[in-house]
Amino acid sequence: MLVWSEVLLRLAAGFIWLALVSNIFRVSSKSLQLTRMAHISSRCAWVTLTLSLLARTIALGHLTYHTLFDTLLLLSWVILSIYSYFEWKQGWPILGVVVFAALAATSTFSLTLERDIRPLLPILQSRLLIVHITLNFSAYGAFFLSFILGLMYLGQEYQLKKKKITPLYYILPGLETLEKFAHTLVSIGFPLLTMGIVFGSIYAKTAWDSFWHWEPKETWSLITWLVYAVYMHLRYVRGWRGKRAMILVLIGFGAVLFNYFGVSLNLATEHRFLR
Amino acid sequence: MHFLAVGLNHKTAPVEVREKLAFSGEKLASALNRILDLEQLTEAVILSTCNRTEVYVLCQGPAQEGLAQLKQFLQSFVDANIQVDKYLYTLIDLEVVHHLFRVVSSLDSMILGEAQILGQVKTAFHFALEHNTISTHLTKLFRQAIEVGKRIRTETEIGESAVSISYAAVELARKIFGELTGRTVLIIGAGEMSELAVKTLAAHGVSSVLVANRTFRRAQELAQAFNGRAVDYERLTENLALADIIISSTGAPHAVLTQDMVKKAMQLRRNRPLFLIDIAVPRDIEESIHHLDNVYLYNIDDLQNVVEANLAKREAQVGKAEIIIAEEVERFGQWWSARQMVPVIKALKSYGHNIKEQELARLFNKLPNLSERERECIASATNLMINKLLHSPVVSLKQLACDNRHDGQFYASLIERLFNLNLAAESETQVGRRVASPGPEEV
Repeated sequence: MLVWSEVLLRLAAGFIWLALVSNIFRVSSKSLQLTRMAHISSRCAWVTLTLSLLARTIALGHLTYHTLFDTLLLLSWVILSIYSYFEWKQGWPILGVVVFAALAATSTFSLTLERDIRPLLPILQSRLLIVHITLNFSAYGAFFLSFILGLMYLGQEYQLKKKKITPLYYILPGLETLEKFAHTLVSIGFPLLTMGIVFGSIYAKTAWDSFWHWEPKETWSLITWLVYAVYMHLRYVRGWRGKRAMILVLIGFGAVLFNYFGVSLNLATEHRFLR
Repeated sequence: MHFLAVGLNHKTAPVEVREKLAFSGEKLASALNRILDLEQLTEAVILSTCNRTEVYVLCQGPAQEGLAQLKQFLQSFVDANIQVDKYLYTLIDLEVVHHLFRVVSSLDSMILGEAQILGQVKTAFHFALEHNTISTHLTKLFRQAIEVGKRIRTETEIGESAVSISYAAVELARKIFGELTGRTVLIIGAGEMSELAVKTLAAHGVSSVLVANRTFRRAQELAQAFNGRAVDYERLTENLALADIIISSTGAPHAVLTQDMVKKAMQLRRNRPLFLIDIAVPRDIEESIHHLDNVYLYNIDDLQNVVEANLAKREAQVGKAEIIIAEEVERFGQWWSARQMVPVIKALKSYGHNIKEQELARLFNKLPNLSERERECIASATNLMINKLLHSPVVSLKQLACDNRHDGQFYASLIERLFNLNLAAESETQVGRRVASPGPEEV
């Protein structure tokens, strides 16, 4: 099973690169073949990645999330799944370029990572923990895409304010559509993150007999949660829209990134990855 | 056999000449028939638009004679003191194909990338089909031309971006709002330009129109014309909150919309984006409004800049379109050469067949006692000999036809000479005049 997972992962990486290349060409030229190729390769990437994840889960007997490799795999899968929805709904080539560039980087990087399977400590074998991690990573995936849409928004907004037409003007979609989708994604990600944190603290209670320890990961999760909470509040109560709201979305994802890479890799925390 | 075309367009001829040579309806039908009455012209299509008139024909005789006839024909529609010849361009064979493909792709149009020409070519083609003035060759040419036109519109971005002020406004509105369905537009003042812009916006989904005017009666009149609603001019701020797109074109010497008004309106509309188009000179809207969050103000010059950028973008697509056209011309050339081989191959085959028939008859006369079975064997053996003998030249001719046109023609005439084939007699039976329209192929 593990061999299969490895083979499928390499295949998925291949399809991701193919999708990246065809989307890059699709930005500058309108060709039906390229569009078809982009769509087929992104679907193939999703299927192979899903199967790879399944194979690894079956081989281990449970969802895997203990190494950086495993979390990257899970995160890539979440992002690709959400992207598939956009591809079906909107089909913006530029979004494909950005998403697949990120996925190509992570999938290629993850192939170099340590991923031996070691017996888990009894304390890490918990359903609550699986729910906690799944919820958090789903939220991260949604935040990632809202971040990309936010960047696209700011790019287009800059064009329209400067009144200078560059190729970006044609490539980027309309502002309100971008903002609407970014907002929807945050509206989905925020409750997921909230529930993820709640489940995490319930798990902490069962494992260490206390809901909250103020360790770096917890602190940064709270900061992330607060940024998105402020965004949701300002959007609903004060009618914050457009540029200012999108900048908040970017800051929120900055916190997510630091929380994911910065804290888990460097700071002393129970959330560190197994090495 | 030659494809010929004679025509004039907005670049070669002034409108006084073009209008004389505009064909439609009855005049078009009778013109087509008159062309077919000319010597050696067997198929004809006339493409007549306000920017061009072009006659496409298939000529069975020498090209120059055909062209001279067509020129004379066109001259008959203009006054004797106008020498129509100097406005005309003439095209022969693959030049015709190349030209038509460029025309249908709007590379030859006044506004690069405009969409109408494809429809006009279709109309001209269907008119000729209905009036039975074309057959295999021009049908194939025009069907492929229409395909080329479609292909270029889908595979390049030549027709993508807006090249008129009102379309540029719609395009910008789309870049701001994404979808325009269900949006509201408010017109302040009135003018031809705002009328055009409103119409274009409505065509793209904008559903309600508000009209404000200094005199309420005039506002009501305009509202009726746009199928909209007249609103109070004195309460512009509140109406700004209702509309997503504002088009202002009053004759007022001072600003009609100030920054304070728009600021207030933005609060009322909870910061939903607002797109203001100022097409008045002197301007109606304070320039500083553009710096407010979620507010976009474009004046007539800004729109003009967008149009120019878009035109440049279309021009950048020409190279890509030319490549597609070259490809398609080659494809057509191959079809045509293969097509030109058909008479030679037919003649060659019947030449062999005739020899066989003659010799068999003679043989059977000499040997009357052959049994039925023996006769059959001899007949099939001779048949095989002839077929095998001709197989390789026929295949080679077909290949040469697709390889290179001139080579192919050379070999065709070589075969014709070597075997002393009488092609003229052959083609006489094939190419009748006014052939019935070909089968119902997909257009």
